[in-house]
Amino acid sequence: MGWRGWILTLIIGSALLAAASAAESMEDYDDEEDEKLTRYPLMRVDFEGVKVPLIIAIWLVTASIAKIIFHHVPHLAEMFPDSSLLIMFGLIVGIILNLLNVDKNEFYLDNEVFMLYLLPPLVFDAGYFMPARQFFDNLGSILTFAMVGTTFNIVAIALSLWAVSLTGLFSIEMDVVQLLLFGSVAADVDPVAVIVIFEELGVNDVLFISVFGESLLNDGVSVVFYNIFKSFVEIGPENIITTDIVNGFFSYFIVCFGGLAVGLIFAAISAFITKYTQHVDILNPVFVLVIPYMAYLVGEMLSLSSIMAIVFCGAAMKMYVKENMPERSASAISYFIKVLSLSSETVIFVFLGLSTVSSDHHWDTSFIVLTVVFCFIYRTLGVVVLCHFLNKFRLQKFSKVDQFIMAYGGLRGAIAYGLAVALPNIPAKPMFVTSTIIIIYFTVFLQGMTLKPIAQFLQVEKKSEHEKNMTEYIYQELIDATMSGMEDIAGQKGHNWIRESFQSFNTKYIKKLLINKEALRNMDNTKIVRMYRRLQLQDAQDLVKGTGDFSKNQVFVNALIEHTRSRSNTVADSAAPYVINVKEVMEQHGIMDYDEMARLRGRTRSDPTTEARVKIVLPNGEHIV
Amino acid sequence: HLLILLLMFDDAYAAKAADSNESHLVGLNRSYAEEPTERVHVAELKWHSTSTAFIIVFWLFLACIAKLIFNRASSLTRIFPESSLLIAVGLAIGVLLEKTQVNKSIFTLDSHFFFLYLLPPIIFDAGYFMPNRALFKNWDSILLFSVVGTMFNALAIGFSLYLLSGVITFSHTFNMFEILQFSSLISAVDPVAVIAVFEEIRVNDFIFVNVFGEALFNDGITVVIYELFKQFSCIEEVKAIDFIAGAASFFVVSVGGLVVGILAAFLTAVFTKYSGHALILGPCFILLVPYMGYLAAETLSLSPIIAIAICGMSMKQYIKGNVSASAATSVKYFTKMLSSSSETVIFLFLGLSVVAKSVAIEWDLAFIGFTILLCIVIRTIGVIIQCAFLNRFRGKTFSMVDQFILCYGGLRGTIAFGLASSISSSVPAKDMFLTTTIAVIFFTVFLQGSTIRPLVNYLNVELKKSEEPTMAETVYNKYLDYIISGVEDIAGQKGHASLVHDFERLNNNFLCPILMKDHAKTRDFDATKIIRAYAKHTLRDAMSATKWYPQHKRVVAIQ
Repeated sequence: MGWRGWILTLIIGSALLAAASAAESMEDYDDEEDEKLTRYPLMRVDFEGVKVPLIIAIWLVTASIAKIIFHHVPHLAEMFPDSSLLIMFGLIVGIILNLLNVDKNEFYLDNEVFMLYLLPPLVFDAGYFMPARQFFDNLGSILTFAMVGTTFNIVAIALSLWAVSLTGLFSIEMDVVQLLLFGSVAADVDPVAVIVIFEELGVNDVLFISVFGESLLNDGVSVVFYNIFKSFVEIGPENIITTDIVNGFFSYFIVCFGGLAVGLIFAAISAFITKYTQHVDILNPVFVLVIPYMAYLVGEMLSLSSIMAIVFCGAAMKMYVKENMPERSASAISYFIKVLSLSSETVIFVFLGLSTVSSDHHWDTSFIVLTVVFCFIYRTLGVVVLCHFLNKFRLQKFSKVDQFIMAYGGLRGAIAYGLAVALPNIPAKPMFVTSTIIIIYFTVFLQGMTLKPIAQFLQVEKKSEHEKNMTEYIYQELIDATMSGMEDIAGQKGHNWIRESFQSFNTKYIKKLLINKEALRNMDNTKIVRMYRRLQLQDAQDLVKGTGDFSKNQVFVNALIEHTRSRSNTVADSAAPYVINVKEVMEQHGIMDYDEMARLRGRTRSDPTTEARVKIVLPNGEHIV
Repeated sequence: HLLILLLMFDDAYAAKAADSNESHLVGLNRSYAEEPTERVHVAELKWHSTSTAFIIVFWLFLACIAKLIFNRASSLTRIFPESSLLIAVGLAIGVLLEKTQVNKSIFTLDSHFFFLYLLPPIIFDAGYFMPNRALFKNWDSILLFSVVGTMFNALAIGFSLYLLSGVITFSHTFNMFEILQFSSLISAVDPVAVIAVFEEIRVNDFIFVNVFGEALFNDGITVVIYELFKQFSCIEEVKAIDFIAGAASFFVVSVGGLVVGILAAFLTAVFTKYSGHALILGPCFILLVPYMGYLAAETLSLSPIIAIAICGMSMKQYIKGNVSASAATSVKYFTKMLSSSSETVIFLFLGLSVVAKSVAIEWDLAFIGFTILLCIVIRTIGVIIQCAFLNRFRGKTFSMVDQFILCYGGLRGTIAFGLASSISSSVPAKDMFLTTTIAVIFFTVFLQGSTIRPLVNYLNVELKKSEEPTMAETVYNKYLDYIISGVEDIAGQKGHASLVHDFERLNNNFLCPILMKDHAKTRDFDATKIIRAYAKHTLRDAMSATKWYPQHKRVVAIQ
């Protein structure tokens, strides 16, 4: 720590104070409007005008600073996941603000703000960086978990709670429909919480995509159930007729597939527009970021699943948009999507902590404990049963360890809270809110914290770090082609056939429509050619660095061949033995040895002053010193 | 052209549809809210909750599409600058919306919204990409133009109009303070309009920095005089103390803005220095802290424009050392994108709000004509006098052509419009002032903006060099700086060069260690450019050693 730690503490302290005083002083300025000026003032303070953006900016910066500080405190970040630390921070700030008697409405996470502004960047990020291949390979199991699993959870939790409530154990009376409503809130596995924990954990792709895909898609399910039960509650359980139930059932499909359709349409629009932006490169980010957001808003407006809309928009447009943009803007946009999602994630967790202080509570121990227990039991049960069922059909089976991680990784988060807050005003609402918060805390803190050690103990297969090399690419393509060929022979229209035919359709029609001509021409160079170029580039850089084996270096060998060829033309009849001076070759072809230069300047390569100053940044973010 | 027109109409219809939908839907929604839900709906429409976000996003989208279309219709953009085309589109859409009886509040540019959300990105961008060296070399002329020039313009226009009002009767009467209030807003050169036009014609750094620096830093003085006269027209009797307070408040406003900007830059540098572990948050700070500086300055009624411009200028050097290269490029890219899209939206809305405000149009041809005439004449006189004065003391003098471009590039823009619409409605001539402001803006943006490019070509104004300075140039520049500061030292003179030299020493010894990560490693920071250039050249040489020339975009990206 030392003095730096103190400085940081000081900064965060002052930022906090600033936030608090800003929030406080807001009220003071409310009623000073109509003062008649008599003298010309040297300076005035006009806080009211800039209140909204300033508060937002302060919150963002404070949350980011908090995050940085957590990483500067040793051992803290290793023990707790970021999400729990941020919630804790929010909790502390909330308590402080509460002690300062700040109006609760100032730091209350409005459901609308959360849904319209904080959530979209996060899920867009998830969609845009979704490992598409894995997702579609595991689509069956993901859909099973998301639809069947979630429905099972909702119904089971609600019915069990209802059964218990018949004994009169709970302090507030509720009927089945209200409990079903609560069940649809509590059963919702949260994409935000899952991403945060699982990205830190770095588990393998299959496991990650199963849990994460489920959490993304079950939003559709739980939101639909939530809406249905919400209107049931509003109608009153005694007035429900069959039409309602049938309507509800249909709206389930409409919501999911409507969201999907909206997402795909907007992805096509976005790709189509970026096709024409070669000369106004600067507008690319606008289209790449704004159009998915429009998809989200349209989904929300038509009460379709907006999360599905933006996720699929991001996932579908990436392939085309990336080709339409120059490399530089594509990487800048990727970077910025990450920044946006990280900052909104940070703010979400801080506000989750804050809202704990600011919302109304009703504490009912038995209800809360039972909810937590039921959530846990039914999640495990659901996962085990579904996995058993799925394993009959899958090539790559879910092992016991996988099943455990999947059950244990069912974290709840801010979406559940948002839904709970937006509940209609029924008597049990405060109790529902309180127990939702407790479930979130329980899962994020306890499960989130223990997940890492457990995963290490069980030796869960980790994500492979290295990028695929060319051989792997080739073999994968080969296997895919073989598989689809076999399916063809067997007369079966299976998974591989679908992929293969989609790919050919994609290259034949969709890409022609959505990708500009120049990029398309470049793209005809297949993966292998591109890979070859990249390796060649790598060679050239190695040559510049002066490291590596020259005999294997393509670039160098080419230069050598060039050299010998030109020399043999001129001095072919010379009797002297032919000597190739490596240094001479390099000089003649303008290849300079870095080491040599450094030595000539009287410095060695290990000199830190030169080392830090020379950086070549590769497109994939590598630095070559 | 037909296609463009078609698309334009298409856009307009879309906007109209959205808007009329809204009114329709709001009604629908209300009826929903009143009666409790009776049946479960298979699907429902809720426009109400998402409308704000959607309208904003939609306008942004529309503006960018318009810009995209102009860019593809190159025959059009060769004649007119983009800003004027956007205004024209705005006007067209505005007229259409007007015809369809859409609620006007949807498409008026609120001056509050403009100052808080649209202006900051542009100014930040301008500050962040300011050619610092050229700016510091010309600080004397910029300061003179922006302070004395603007003041002279404001007072001269104001008094002449006041005198004229004794001779000719305009449709409204006004007292002296009211006309001074108007003249102070009409005399300020607008940074947004200047950037928009000058970035397209790409004149050399010397002229650009003079015009743009003036536009940027005259904000302090304009706001002060404007507020001063606004208050004066309210106060019953004006005492000497008020004038003194006004003069003092000029220093408070500009120097205060400067201080806030530097403070924000300092904070940004410190935050990014420690963001090592959460590296991805770096851009978050780089964009947000300057904005907070802007808002803070606005709160304290200091000059927010000066604050954010200074912040962007001074933090650049430290930021680049603190964040990773990919973060730096993405920040660069994003500031550019933010500023260009808000610029687009501003011009579009300028056209729109003219239509929205058109009820209040008070067309007084005499007043408008005289104002435009006076604006041009007095600006010309001011520039010539100041240049004559400056040329006595400067190494690089302003040539006649430079002076002409300086006069002609004095474009007015949205800031003036924002200020004009915030004139208190108790002023009887407000509508006339507003109309005249619009007329002056249109005159400068359309006429001057579209003729400046042919004029620049005709007059053979030196254009901006497109390539970066070569290594030799960089080395010689540095070398010259040292020599000049040495000569100044010998002559016992504390001049410009030694000032720069002293600052660089201070920067290297004190500021950089505090504000930059791993400063020990980058101590001889000046050397980097050469070494980087060297590395780049060797890489290129290695590439060309094979027969494979850099065609692929990855290679281009690296180089």
